[in-house]
Amino acid sequence: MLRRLWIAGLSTVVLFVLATQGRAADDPRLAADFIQALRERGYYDVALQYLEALRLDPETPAALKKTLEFEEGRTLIEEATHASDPDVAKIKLEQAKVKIEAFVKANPDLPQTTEALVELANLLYERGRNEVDSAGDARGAADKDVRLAAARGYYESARNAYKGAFDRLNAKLAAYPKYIPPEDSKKLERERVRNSLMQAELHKSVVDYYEAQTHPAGSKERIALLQKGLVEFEEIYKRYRQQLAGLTARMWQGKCFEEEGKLGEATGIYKELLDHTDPRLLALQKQVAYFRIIVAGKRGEFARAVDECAEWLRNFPKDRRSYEALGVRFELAKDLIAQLPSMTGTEKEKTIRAATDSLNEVIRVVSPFKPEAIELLQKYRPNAALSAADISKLNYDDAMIQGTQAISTLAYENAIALLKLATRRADAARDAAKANRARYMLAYASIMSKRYYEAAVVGEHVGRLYPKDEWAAKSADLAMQALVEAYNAYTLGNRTVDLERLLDLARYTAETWPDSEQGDNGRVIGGQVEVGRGRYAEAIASFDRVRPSSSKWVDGQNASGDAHWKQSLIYREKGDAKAAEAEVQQSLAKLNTALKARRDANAPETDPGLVANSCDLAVVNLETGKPSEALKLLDPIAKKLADVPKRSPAMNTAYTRVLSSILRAHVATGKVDQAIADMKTIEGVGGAGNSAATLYLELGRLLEREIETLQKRGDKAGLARTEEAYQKFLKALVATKAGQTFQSLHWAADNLLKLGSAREASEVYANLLDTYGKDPQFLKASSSAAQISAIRIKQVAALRTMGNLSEAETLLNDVIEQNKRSIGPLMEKGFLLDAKAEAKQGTWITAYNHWKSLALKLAGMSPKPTQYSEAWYQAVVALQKQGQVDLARSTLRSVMKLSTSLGSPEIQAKYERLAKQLGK
Amino acid sequence: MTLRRLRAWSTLAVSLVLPLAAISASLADVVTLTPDAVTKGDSAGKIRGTVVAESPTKVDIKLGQSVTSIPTNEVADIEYDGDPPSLEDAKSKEAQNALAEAADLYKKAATEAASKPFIAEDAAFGQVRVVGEMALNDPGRIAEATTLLEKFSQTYKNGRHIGLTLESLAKLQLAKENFNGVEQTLAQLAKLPGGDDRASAYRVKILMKKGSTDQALAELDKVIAASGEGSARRRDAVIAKAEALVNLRKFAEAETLLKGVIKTASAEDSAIQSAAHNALGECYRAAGRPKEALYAFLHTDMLFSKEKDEHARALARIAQLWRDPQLNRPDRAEEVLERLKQEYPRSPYLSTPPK
Repeated sequence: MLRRLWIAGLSTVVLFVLATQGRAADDPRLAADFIQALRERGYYDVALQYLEALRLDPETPAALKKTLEFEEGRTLIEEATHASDPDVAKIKLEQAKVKIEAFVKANPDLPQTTEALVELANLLYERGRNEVDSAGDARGAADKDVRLAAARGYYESARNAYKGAFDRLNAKLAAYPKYIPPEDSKKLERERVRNSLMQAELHKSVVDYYEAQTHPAGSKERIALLQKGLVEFEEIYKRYRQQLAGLTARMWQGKCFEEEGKLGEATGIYKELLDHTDPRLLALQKQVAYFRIIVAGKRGEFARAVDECAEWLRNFPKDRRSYEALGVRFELAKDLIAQLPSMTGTEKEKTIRAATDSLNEVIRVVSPFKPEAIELLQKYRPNAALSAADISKLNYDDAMIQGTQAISTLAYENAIALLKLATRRADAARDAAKANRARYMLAYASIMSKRYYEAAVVGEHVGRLYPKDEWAAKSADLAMQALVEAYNAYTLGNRTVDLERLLDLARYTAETWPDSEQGDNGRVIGGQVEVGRGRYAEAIASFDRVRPSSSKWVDGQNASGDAHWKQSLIYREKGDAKAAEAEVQQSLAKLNTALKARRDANAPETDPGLVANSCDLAVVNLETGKPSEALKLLDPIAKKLADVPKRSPAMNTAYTRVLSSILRAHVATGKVDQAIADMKTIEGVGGAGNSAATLYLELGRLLEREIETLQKRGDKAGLARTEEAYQKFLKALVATKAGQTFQSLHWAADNLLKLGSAREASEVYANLLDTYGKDPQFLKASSSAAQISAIRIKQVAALRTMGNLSEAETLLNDVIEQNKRSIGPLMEKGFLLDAKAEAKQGTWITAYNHWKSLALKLAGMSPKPTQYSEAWYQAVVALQKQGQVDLARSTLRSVMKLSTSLGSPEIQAKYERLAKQLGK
Repeated sequence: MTLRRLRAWSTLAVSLVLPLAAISASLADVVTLTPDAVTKGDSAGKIRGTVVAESPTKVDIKLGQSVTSIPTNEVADIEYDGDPPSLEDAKSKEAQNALAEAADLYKKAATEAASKPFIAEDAAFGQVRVVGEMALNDPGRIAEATTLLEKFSQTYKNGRHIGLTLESLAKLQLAKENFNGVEQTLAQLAKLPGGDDRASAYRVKILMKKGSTDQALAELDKVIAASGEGSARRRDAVIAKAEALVNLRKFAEAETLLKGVIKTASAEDSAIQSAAHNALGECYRAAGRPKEALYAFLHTDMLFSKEKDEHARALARIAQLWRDPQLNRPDRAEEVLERLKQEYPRSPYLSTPPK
């Protein structure tokens, strides 16, 4: 009954399907066929509605009900395959995964389960293709590399999944008796298994072909994968030459030949396949015909290729947005352009118009053809700047059409001019909806042309003033993106203004559209801003409000876990160990949940989100005394990242972060040799294009933080162990002869000095002065004199720490003589006078006078250098040492009162501690 | 056979009906009301009929036997039946920002419609209004525009455009700092119904130009107290008051007032929104908050560029602000300056920054 009612409510567009499948729709035994018919006609939403109706109908047989999730999953995969927006496709695939996995888990023994296993592998393969499509629309080379790497990860997972399905299906097939009577239902079941098995085997090889496409043409990786594919397709064809799977393998064999430049072999295979007259081969032949067009182009038979393109488009007029249709249009444009040199005048103009029209169709959809199509369009229909006179006569519709087209061809300046005009033409006071559509696109074009404030103004206007408008949530989302970009781009001046505006908009978006992806984006962005402001509790609350069904949920959990970790550090600083531990546990729980979700979604090990998530987790492990767990987590990722042939800068940054954590874990577990090897690898990677000096600075900070953490925790044993491990590591590092650089030795010596190994540090400084101070190549650099001076001052500090005060003084006097205007030597002179007073080789009054005079000198500088506060601090300490506590107290108070800022939080804390010591 | 005949008849009926409908649609003057009009119009804010009388205070439109009187300040536009094509062309050119061509076409339309006094007046007003607008961004044309406006105000002193004409004239006289001339114009404006308020607003501007900020504030407070909550007059006065407060460096108070105007005015009332955002931008700029100033001026550029004078002023400020050390993007400044040159080639802001 319900099915009848449901059918009656369907739109006329489905009536055709119903006319042919009407009985099926009413007969639960044929429901699967009916759904398949809907899927084949592209009525995915109708199929999903029908499945939902079956679920709610009490008359639906139990056996059919069991398979509903599987059918829903299949429908969603099909829908994703045909979606023109990769983001939409991604969401559909995620939903499909949940459905099919639930089906497999609940029904391990149903006949459909075998097909479901293959569908799960198909899903991964589609995710890979989806990433490749997105790479076609990537913002820059780095983004493209990341997406292609992600695609490779999915392909690898898909290959494994096909293999797993193949093995299971093979075992199942072997379990059937050799002979099954035709009337036995088991015969049909066995055929089903065999069919799934062939599919799994074929698709596993198709994955190789598509993975080859993620590598540059001619690269050894691509060639190897194509050769592997050739062998496998040949095998499959031989085994199943009478089946569709065999013929499909044959087509791919031809494709691999074509890619290897063996055009004759490819043409032969394509002809053979196209000569078949069986109508069931039509879908396959559509693809073969497209491949044959490519061969014609490669052979230079451009006119023939153009004819074949026209024929293909005539034969499949409804197939406008498929991969093949886009490919044919792209080939058509290229083949037309290839004939231009032999043309002149009107004929040439007409051909260019035909080619660019075809390219315009291609660029409307995200596909691997898009970047090259845009390049060709820019060449053959250049986007000359539009003058006001050019556009002033356009009406709203024309301005919108041309504006959209300008966006497609990346001509954002023109798009902005056209869309501004469209907005004016719409007359927002009379038709706000029309104006807002133009404004949304204007905001988009403005972001793309890096006009972030402009985009934010327009997006915010639509989002805030028309919350019910179709474009409101999307416009607010664009405005948030624009403000994020503005915050990162305009780094001078008051950045708080940008941050506050962003936070306000993020909160508004989350509150206004709570059940949307934009609302979730608002929550994530709001949380990120709160993290930046050190308000971790607010950040956690914001991240935790991301809906579990959202595509941003995993990132939200990850960020929430990280915020809990940061909150734990605050509690630890305050001495509240219990609260800190509770935060650590929450952090671990959320970071692990996020990581599990990423792995469940088959994110590859090189996925940026997975890498960052793992690093966040590793930090918590490292700093809570579990370095082995950090290593266990990061080692496989590092190996995968090491294998990536051409890492993008973003990937290098991620790799450096992984290696830095591994280095720390190796140090913490006493694996000094491995830590040194890590260091060499890090230097080789070079971070995000950073210099080695920056890298060492970052590592130094990590080391300091680790020691500080242990100090704050009061973990004396842990501190001693870590310090010892680091000393051992540093000593081993400086003892290594090969591959040392000025920066690596400098870094090691500085840290040895910090850890109290003054003698070893002094030796390294001496070595540095001896080696680099006399190296003409090194001394050629403009910064070399300053670097040598810095090393000499550090050498004085090392000698002072060792108690070798007179040698330190002699060296320092020489440095001061050569650097009369520098602050560094004078600061070191103060520390040396302190050391002399402490050793009774001098007086505290001398030290005080020096620090005071230095502080007064620094006070006259604008802006005041950071050493100003330190000099006064040391002067007060010298007074305290002399027993002049009142003067020390009043001096300290004056400095604190008169200075708007004392500098870093550390120096501020030092002042406060000293003030406490000196009393009221 | 019957069917065929019937079909032929119905086709004929349609062909007869269509021209009639077209005729009846064109046999009317169409008054477009302002968005905040109290007078009731159709769903598109229009009233159709025959305009039978026009005066500085009202427009009478007759439909059937009834006559509707619409206050002049609620009339956004009138499309007269039988206006010459040149008038439509002029409006179209004006919409395309081709102001010089528009002015010529308005002049032509006025001549062509000489026998239809309302249309002729409307077209003549179009010409002097556009020339006046051009003169605001082209000081070289102020004298010509002033003469035209003065002549128009004498010829059509009993017409519906007289208030707006006197305001255009006052704007030009203010730009020239011809304070005596403005006072005389305002005296005429004050005599018109509702003109007293408008005159007060201009008097405040004179005081501000003369640097008598306290006096201006006192004057504005009087206007604000006397005008209704949410009225256009009150909003204009509040914006002017905020500008005066900025002169006195009372930034927080000015900011609150301006944000209030922005919030309460219609989101798409470009005249008020552009003036309020520009004033807010000036407030932030004077308070040393360049990023916020830029954001405020960008509203005028991106959303309310229809208001030519405010738009030119916003562009000039945006160019200045991109050069501010806190933004330090001289490339963007150059780009905006180039736009100012292209869109307003004779703008006084090209040589002198806005005051």
